[in-house]
Amino acid sequence: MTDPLVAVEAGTSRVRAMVGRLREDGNLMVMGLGEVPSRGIKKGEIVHMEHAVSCISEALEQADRQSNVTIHTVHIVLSGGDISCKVNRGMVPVSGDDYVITYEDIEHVHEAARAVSLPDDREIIHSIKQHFYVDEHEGVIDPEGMEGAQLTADMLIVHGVRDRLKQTVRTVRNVPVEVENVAFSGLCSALSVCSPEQKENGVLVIDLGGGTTDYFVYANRMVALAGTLGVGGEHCTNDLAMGMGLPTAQAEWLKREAGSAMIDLGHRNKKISIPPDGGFPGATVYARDVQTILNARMEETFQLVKTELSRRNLLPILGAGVLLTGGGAHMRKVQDLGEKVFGVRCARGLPRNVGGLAVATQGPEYAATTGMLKYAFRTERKPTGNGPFGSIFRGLFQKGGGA
Amino acid sequence: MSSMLLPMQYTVMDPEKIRIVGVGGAGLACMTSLADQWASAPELIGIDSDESTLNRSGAREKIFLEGATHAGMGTGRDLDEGRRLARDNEPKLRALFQDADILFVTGGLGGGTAGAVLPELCRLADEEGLLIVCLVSMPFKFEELEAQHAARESLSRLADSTSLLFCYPHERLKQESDNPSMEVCLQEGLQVVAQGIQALYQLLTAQGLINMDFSTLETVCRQTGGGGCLVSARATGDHRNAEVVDRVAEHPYLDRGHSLAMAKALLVVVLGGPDLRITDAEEVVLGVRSMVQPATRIYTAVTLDASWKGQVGLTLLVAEEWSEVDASSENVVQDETPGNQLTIPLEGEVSGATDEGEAKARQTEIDLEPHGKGRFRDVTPTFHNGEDLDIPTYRRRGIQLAGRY
Repeated sequence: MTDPLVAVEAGTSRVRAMVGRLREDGNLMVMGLGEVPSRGIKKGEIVHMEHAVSCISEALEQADRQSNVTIHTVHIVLSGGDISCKVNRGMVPVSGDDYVITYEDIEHVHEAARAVSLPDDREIIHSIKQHFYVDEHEGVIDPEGMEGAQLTADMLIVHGVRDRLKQTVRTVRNVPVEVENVAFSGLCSALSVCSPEQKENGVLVIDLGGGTTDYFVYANRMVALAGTLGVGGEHCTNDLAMGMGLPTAQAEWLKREAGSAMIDLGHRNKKISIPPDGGFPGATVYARDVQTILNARMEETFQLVKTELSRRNLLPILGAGVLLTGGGAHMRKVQDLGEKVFGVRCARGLPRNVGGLAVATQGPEYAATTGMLKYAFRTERKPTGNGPFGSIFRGLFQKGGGA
Repeated sequence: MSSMLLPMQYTVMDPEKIRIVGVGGAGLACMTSLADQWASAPELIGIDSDESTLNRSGAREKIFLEGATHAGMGTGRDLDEGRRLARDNEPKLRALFQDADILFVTGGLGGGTAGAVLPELCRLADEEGLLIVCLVSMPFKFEELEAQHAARESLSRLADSTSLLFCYPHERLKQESDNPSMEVCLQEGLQVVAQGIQALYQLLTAQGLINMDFSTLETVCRQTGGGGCLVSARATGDHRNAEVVDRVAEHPYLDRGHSLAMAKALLVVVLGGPDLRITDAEEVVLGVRSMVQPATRIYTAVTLDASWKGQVGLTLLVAEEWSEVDASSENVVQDETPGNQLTIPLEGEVSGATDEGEAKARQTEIDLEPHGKGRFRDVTPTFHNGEDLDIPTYRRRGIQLAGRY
């Protein structure tokens, strides 16, 4: 077994800390979990540093106590901050006289593909290798040893707004713990829940978080799309609170108790009583109004993701369908709605190859943190930064520390 | 209920001037099914390129498409072959339209005969000045690209010449919860199309108590952008009013009721026998009303058929899309049908089309207050294509809630 690592996800509704080890058979063993409701975080952004710091340190303490591991360094799951992606193409002439592509040529072309120009306020989080072209020959996975005059590589650059990403890192450092690594939450969720067959056949992972919705697409074993929308479960709650004149706590209760992503006509006149509490006098609402409000929001969210996919022509390749992760995946009938919108099979994505704490293996909301641990173990074994997802994000901390 | 209903004056279509035509395998099957269930059916016409199928069908007049290049055994899914056949047989087809005003035509798109002959037939009928009501079924998704492409091509040709076009995707039949056999499913699909034809025919010809003429129907359909779905059901027995509403609500073509809940407009046609009471019609319409959003526009018609004693039928044209009528066309509708303008005045709940529009406008003013963001007031707004996603989706889309909060 490896030494334990720690993942932290400072989400909009919950802050989670997870301690895990990697077994020899490749399975992840979760040893400790800390989970507290968030304060000071909205739409994945830190809006109140002190509140956020106290939540994170409380979650870390819980995980610390449960796992008996003293936590010094953590790996952060990143979301929010308008994370989006861009495909960048690098092109180099093959160096040897015999036109046989060598390992060095591949290194060079990757370097060229990573050299992307982004607006000043943006920072690269991941640079993910896609595929190669050898002269006119498309879709080459491993060009080493092939012959050609020109080698081209596509690289998917995942980037976000620098200030917001730095703010998250700075907050965690104030706990204080060291930040070892960061990764995009959509990538983490996909790493956690997708099987190799699904990656091969094409799969869309949608992480329905509290303040953000992250999406990630695998096609032909390569990452085809990554991005995030600043809309999540808190919007559902807010929509209910505003539509029905309820306090947030009651709207949240209503969402969990009676929420459904589809409108059910079977009980069309059913009413729901919301019990009085504190200054709230109680209320009665139509179940179908709750469903109408949630259906409109969830359908729009899925449609926005669908538009992103269709802009890149990715809809026809979703052979393995759609997997939903995050707390929003618990909403009733959300898979049915997903199937309706995307026209392919849609299921809840559960963490794969994870053991230890039962709770962490059973909930779609733990996909991001378990995925972060898997990602951390994967990149740790390759300290040179040649892992499949690159390690350019280290620059984020150096610049952050130096500033 | 003892009040007598006085016969009202309005123009009804002369049954003699209506042609009902089924084209290709599915169209013929539909004619057979119509002939079985509709004793007083008008002349049913079948058109096919396969002689044996044509002879087995229940169509009373049969038109065989002869061609120089084929042996009377269909078109083999070849659209070009189908078009050639239609051209070779043009005089035969044109003869159908003599002294006719309305053409009802049905078939299954995706194959060669219906896929090619239907659009040609509609084009000819259009040239002859007929009003065309076309009901087509679309292939299953698993029938894959070839059939789907062909069907879509045919559909776009049909849209050019037809007055009313209703589309029945077979795919929706799949959603039956008990997963019956394919034969049962397809049979049910045929039934739906057949009932649709029958209901429209009766609507336009029968003694309407609350009548609807073709121009109104056409206006309704035009505003749906041709994307309407027409479904019917019938029921007998003591609880037939509630039952007929439930049957329609559970209809597979309405996506398990979801289409109804999302409908922008509805055409509700209640069909009854001579024993239909006002309360029966009211119960059915209110039943439908309770399943849709309060803002949904509802157009109502009630028709009678002497042979429907003890039965009640309900036909819904569900419009998932709706484009606003401009003032002029709305006036035209009202002028043409004086005195019997489509609505049953019921307590508050169901109101006329124009009232409904006004009510909606008033409601919208209240709804679109500028600071509708609640707890997201103080964070960076999420803008997407000019829309502020922090404002509840249902408000931005103008969806009405059932309760007042």
